[in-house]
Amino acid sequence: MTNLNIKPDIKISVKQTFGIESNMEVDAFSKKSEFVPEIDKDYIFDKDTTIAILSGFNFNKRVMVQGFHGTGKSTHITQIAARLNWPCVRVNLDSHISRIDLMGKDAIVMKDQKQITEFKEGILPWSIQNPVALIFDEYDAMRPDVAFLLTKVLEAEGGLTLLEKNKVIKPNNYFRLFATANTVGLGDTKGIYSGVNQINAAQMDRWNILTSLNYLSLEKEMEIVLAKNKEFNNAKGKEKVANMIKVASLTRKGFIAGDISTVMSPRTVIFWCQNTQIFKDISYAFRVTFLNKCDDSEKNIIAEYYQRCFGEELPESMVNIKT
Amino acid sequence: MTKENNLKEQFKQAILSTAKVISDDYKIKIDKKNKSSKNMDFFQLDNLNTRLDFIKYRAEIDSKALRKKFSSDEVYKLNLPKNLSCKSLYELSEKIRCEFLGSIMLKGIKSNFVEDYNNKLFFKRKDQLKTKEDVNITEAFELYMLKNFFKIK
Repeated sequence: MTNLNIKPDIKISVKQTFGIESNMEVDAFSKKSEFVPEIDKDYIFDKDTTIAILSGFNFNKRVMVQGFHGTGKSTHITQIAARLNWPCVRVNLDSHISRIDLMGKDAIVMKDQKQITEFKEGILPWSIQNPVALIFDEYDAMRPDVAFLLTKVLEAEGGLTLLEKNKVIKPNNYFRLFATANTVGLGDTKGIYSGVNQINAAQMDRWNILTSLNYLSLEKEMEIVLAKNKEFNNAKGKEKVANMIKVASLTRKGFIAGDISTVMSPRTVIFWCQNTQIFKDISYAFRVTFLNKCDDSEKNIIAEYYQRCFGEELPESMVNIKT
Repeated sequence: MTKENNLKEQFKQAILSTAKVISDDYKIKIDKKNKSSKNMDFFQLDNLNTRLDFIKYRAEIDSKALRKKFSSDEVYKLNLPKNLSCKSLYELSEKIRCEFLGSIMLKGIKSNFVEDYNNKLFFKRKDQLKTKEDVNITEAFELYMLKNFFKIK
């Protein structure tokens, strides 16, 4: 990947750009480059999370966003980066990612018509040397050996020692580091996120800011869903959307209670609306959007949730199975 | 386990989960030893043959879940009347208050209550209620509350 020879050259108002009551002004880039995400014009920003992430961008603080899955943790960071024209790269730190995946490895390349072995820097050294916002997703699922690699990088002016090239990399002044996680580094205390690890306390201590982003209120979620599905922006449509969000809310509670293993994110609700427009049948759209993805043993639980919100029976409801 | 028992068990799990998410109390469990019908932990499904049986059990457990969600034991006990007949009216009004709030919250809860109450009243009128004197004060109060809050005639 080529190096980005750019730096922030303008300041933008948080109030005007994000619609949040704040006098803050943040550094931004006037021109969009290759790694800048696309702007989602309908995205609605949560105030507390946005201020925390902007602090990370503006003051070079390490920000971790914690919350249940499907709440838009990564999207929040990328949408902020999109509006700042800040190049952004996401890396999913699942348990298959190892040290060499991040640092780089030897590769055989052609040079002067000869095959030679050359060390290719990985995404981490490249990002550190460029004005890039690097987002580590599923931070609490990463392997411990990878975690120790990041300890130095997490420090404010922390660099990276690339042993393979006998090189010490100093971070670019506009390199930023973010992470998203389902837990706060204490392991899976609720019993709903298997595969996550406890994060070393010294490493957790290096994250300057930890903000939580959980499911939105009914009103906020309605705003988001209606922004993406303008056909529902009338009295009847709003009632339908409100009931859809109520179903989603019950599934989230059912997930926390440990009764079901699949949960509806705000994205699922948006898809449900879109499918309802296509199929003109709200219950069929629900089944193809969400219910069919659920385990058979949980379908009758979700059918009960649906019945409470819509007052209608799904084919998967016990009433229809038995009678 | 027979197919019949299997279906009963599945339904029990489904409505218990619904009770948890309605009441926001995720610790509710099935306690087979505690046979008190006031305790939501105990739940015995007898007949599950017709649609009305399903509605009956849904309404019963939803009512208990809504009581957990909307009623405060402390406030309830603070205002509890001493007179026995007043106590039963007080208990009834608190039950219907919570059910009404639940009906506003989720329309399916409302339809379950309306159908269940209509069904109970239909069978009661058929069997027991011939004249005004067949209705005791508690039942009359219940009918009054149902008429005004759930529009049941």
